[in-house]
Amino acid sequence: MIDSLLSLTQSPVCRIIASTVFIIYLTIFLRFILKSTKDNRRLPSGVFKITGFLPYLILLAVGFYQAKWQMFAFLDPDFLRVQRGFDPRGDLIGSRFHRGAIFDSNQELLAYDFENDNYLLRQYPIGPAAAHLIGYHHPIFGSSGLEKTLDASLMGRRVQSAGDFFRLLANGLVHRELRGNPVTLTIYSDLQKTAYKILENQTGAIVAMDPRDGSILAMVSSPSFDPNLLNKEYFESLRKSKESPFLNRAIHGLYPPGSTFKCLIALQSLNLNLKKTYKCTSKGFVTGDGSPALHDYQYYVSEQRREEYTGHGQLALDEALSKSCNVYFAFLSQDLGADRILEITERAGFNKEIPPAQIGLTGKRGNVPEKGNLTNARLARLAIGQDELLVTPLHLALVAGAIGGDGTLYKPKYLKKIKPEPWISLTDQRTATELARKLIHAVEAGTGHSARIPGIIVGGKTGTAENSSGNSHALFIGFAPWPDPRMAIAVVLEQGGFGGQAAAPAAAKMFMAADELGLFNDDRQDGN
Amino acid sequence: MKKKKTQRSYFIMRPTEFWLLFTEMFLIVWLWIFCTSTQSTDLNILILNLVILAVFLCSVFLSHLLLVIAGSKSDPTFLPLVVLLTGFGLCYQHRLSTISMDSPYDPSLILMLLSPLIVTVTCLIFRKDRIFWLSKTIWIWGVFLIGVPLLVIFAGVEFNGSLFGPGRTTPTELVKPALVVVLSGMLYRCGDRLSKDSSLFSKDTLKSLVFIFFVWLIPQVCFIFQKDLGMVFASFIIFVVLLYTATGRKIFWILGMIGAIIGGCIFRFYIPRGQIRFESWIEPFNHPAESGYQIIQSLFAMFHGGVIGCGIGEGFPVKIPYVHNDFVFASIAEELGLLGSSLLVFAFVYLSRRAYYAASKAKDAFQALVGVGCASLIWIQLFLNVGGVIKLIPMTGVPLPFVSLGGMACLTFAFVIGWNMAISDSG
Repeated sequence: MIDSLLSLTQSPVCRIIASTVFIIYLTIFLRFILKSTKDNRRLPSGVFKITGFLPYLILLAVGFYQAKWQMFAFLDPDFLRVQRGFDPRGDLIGSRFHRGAIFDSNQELLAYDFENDNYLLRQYPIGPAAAHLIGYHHPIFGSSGLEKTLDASLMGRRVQSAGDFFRLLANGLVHRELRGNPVTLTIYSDLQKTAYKILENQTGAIVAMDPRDGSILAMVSSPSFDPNLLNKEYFESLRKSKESPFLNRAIHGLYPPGSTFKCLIALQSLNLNLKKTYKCTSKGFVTGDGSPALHDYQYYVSEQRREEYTGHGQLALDEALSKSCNVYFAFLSQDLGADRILEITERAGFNKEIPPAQIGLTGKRGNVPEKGNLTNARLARLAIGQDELLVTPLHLALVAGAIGGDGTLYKPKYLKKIKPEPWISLTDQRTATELARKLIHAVEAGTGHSARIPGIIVGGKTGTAENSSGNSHALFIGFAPWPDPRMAIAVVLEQGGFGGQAAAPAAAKMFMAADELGLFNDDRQDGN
Repeated sequence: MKKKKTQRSYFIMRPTEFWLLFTEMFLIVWLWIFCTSTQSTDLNILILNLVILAVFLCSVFLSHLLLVIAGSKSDPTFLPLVVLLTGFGLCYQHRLSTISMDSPYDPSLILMLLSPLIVTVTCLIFRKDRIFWLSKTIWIWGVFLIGVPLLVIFAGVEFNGSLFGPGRTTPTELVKPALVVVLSGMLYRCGDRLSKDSSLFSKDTLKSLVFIFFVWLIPQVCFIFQKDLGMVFASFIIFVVLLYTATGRKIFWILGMIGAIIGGCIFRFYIPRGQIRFESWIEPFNHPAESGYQIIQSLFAMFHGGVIGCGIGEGFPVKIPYVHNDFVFASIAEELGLLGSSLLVFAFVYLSRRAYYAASKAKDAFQALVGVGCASLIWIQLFLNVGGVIKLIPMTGVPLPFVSLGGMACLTFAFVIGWNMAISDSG
C-alpha cells in the first residue's frame, strides 16, 4: 500500500499538482500573516519609512531580474547557445530550442542540428569550404559568420508581427519546444567546394556573385578550418596560428587592388570622354621630383633575363587595358588629377563599409589615401592600384559585377527570399558596356588570356599587386557570360605571383563550374 | 477583549502566533512528503528524516510554549516567518539528499533544527530593554569585530579562493551583528553631536564621524584581504543605513552612492580576483565550462522551472555545484517556479519589514539603531545570495540564512531576529 502510494506521488503530474497546491497554500499563509498585522504594518514617516522601503526595492529588483531569466531567458542568444551543449535536461523538458537548418540555393544542407546524448550539436556538411561564410555556432566557442547574424531567425526569436510577439510572450509563461526557421542562402555548395579546392593550399579569397542582383554565389576564404571539429586544442591552435584561419579574407581582408584598379581609372577616362594615347617607352614614367621611375612589369622581366625591352609603344586605352600597361595609366593619372581619381574610388564606395541587403555579413571599409599629400609620383602609383589603396575581395567582386552588369553596385545578398537592393550607382549602362567590351578584349587577347573558356565569352582584368613582405599578390576580377553576365568574380591569391598566371585560371575554373551547374543557362529557374 | 484573552488556556495566549504556526505545520509537512518521495526508498534515511522533522516541529512548539509561559508580548509574526524559512530549508536539504546516514549530527543541520528555539531564547534573554546591555559591552563587540577577521586570516583555511575559519566554517557571519552593535553604540553615544540641530561641518560632528568611519574601516581591510566581498558590501550598506537612521540626514545616501561607485571601480580594476568574478558575472556564457559553469547551471535550472515550476522533486539539481549551500535558491526556483521562489523572497522581505516596524516602535535610540541595522542585515543577506544566484550581482559565496546549509549564517540570523523580537517586546 505504501508502495502504491509512493509510486502515485512520484508521477510528474502529481508533482506539478503538489507544487501548485503548495504555492497556493503558501500564498494563503502569507496573506494570513499580512492580515494578522493589518493594524500595525505602517512604518512612521521619516527615517524608518525610507529605510523600510529598501527591502521592497530588493523584492522588485530580484523579482524582475529573476523573471528575465526564468521566463524569458530564451531571448538571450548566448543562453540558448550554451544551453544546447550544457543543459543536462535535454529532451526530457519542453524548453529546448532547435536551431533552424541552413540550406543552399539547391536546397542542399549547409548546417543542421544533430542530437547527441541529450545535447544538440551543430553539423556542417561541407565543413571548411563554407566555414567563414556560414561560420559556426558552438556552446563553448561562440558563434560567427551567418550563424551569428541570422541567429534571431534561426532560433525563431525574430519578431516580425504581432503574432510572433504573442507567441514569444506565451512561451515565456509556458516554455515549449520551439523550432527556429530554416534559412535558404543564395550560395551554391558546389561552387563553394570548387572555390575551396582552388584555394586549398594557398592563402586568399574568392567571391562570386550575381551581377544582376548582388546574390553571393560563393564566398571562400583560405586558410580555413573545420567547424565540425572544434574543440579546445583545435580552437587554440587556430587562434594562435599566424595564418589567422578565422579571418574571413573575403570581407575582412584588405588587399591592394593592383592592376584591377585600372578598370576604374579607365572608367573615369570613359566618363570624361578622354581619348588619350601615350607613348610608353622603356624609360617608364618619370616625375620631376626624383622619385624612382615607374615601369611595366615586362621591363623587370627583361632586365632579369638581360634582354632589351622596348616598351609598349604608342597605346590607346583599350590596348593599355589589355596589356595592363602601367606607364599608360601613370600618364593618364596625371591628366585626370587627384580629384578625379579619388572621386572614382568614392563612387565605387571604397571609403564605406559594404552593407548587406537586409541581413548578412558586412564588408570592411576600404582604405583610400588622403588627398592632401598625394604627389604626382604617388598618384601614378595609386592609378595602378598600389600606394595606400586597399579594398576587400568582396568589393572587387561588386565592382566587377557593376561593370559586367548595369553599372550599379548591389548590396551583397545572402538570403534567397529577399529583394535585391542597389547600393551605389558606379556608372550608366552604356559606359559600363563600353568598359566591359574592353575587359573582354583583355581576356581574349591580353593579360587575362588564361581566363578564357571555350564557348563562353569572359571579360576580366588581372592584377599583380606588389607586396613589400614577399611575393606579389595575384588578383583577377571578371564576369561571364557576355552579353548577359550571370556571375561576377573576384579572386585574390596572397603571394600568388602574377595575376594572369595564378588568379585568371582560378576564375576560369569557377566559371566552368558555374556553367556545369547550369547557372549560365537562360532557362534557369530562380526565386528572384 | 484583552481580559477575555488572558482568561483562555495557555496555548491561546499568543493566538496569532499559535494559529499561524498551526496552519504552517501542514504546509511544511506537505512539502516534506513530496520531498521524501523523490528519495530512494531506503528506510533508514526515511526514518532519520522523519526524526529530523519531528525534532523540528517539537522545537517550534517548544519555542511557542516558552514565549507563552514567559508572557512575551513580542511581535507574533517573527516566529512563524522563521519557521517557514527553516521548514523550507529542511525540506529542501532533505530533497537534495544532504542529510545522509554518514553525518546525521551535522552541526549545521542541528543549528537549523534549533533555530526557532535560538530565536526565542535570544528574545527572552534580551527582552524588556535588556538589549541595552549590548551598548554597555560595546568594547567586547569591538574586539570581536576586529579579532574574528584577524583570526580567520591567521588561522583560516583557504578553499575555492576564499579564506574560511577553522573547519571551513564562516565565523565572519557573526561579525555582521557585531558591526551593527558597535556602530549603533557609537552613534548612540555621539547622538547629540550628530543630530540634525547641529551643523554637519562643526568640529565635534566631523571629529566623531571620522572616528566612527575609521572604526568601520579597520575590519574592512581585513575583509578585503580575506577576499570576502559580500562582507564588505554588507558592512557598507549597514554603515550608510545606520548613519542615516542616527542623523536623519539624506546627504549620507548621496555620499554612500559616491562611495559605492568609487568602491566598485576599485573592485573592478585593482583586485585581480574581483576581475575574475566580475567577468564570470558579466559574461558567464563565454566560459561555460569553467568560471561560468555554476551560474549557468543555475540559470538553466531556473529557466526549466518557468513560472509555476516543474514540480517538487522533478528538477535536476545535481549539476549545480554547491546546490545545497549557496545555490539552494536555484533548486527551489526550478521546482516551485518564479511564483514559489518569489513567495520565499517575499517571506524574507516581510520579515525584514516586521523588524523595521519593531525598530520604529523602540523605546530609545540605541534599540532603534540596533533594530534597523539587524532588519537591514536580513535583506542584505537575501540580496547577496539570491542576487548572485540569478546573476544580478557577482557571486559572493553568502548562504541564504535558514534555507541554505550554513551553520554560522543560521546561528547569526537566529540572533539577529531574536534581537529584533526582543526590541518588539520592550514591555
